[in-house]
Amino acid sequence: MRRRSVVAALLAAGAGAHLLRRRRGAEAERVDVHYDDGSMVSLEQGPELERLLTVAREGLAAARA
Amino acid sequence: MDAQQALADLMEISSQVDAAVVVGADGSPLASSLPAERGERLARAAARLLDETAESERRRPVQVEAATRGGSVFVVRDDGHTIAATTGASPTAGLVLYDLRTCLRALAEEEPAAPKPTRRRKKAEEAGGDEAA
Repeated sequence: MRRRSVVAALLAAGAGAHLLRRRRGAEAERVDVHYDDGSMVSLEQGPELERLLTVAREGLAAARA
Repeated sequence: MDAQQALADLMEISSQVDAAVVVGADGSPLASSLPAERGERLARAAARLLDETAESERRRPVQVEAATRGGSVFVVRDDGHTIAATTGASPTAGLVLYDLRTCLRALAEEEPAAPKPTRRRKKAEEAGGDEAA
């Protein structure tokens, strides 16, 4: 009985951590670029990401002004 | 379907797209859900996203999704048109991209594909005429 409770608690903790990671990942700032050769690049940090996000924010500002 | 109609359909279908602009091959906005000046600003931002991602890689970008904490900008292009759209934070990217590609397909289908059915109908009429004669 006690063993089952421990397993259930571990599973619940694992599921919670997974959901939290997914949520954080979804909220993270990033730029995904797909190219005509079928390749894809995901920028998640660095100066290039910041430059592209600045441009994106200008677009968002234009849409919401 | 013209650009204005395709954009109107997109705005009606997609609950996640807040604003969008369709840009022609020459870079000028063809249709926008925003007032002209703001639509041009969004179009310029989209063009810069495409240009700057092309500079960094030796490939042609066809789709860009820039996700900020305040919202996302999507840019999708084909040979003839580019469409840029903004959404709120954490959109369902797959659905937004599907809707944008549908809009681009509607724009692409308008131009060269129209004559085919007419040709078939003529042949059918001729065959019918031959049978009658």
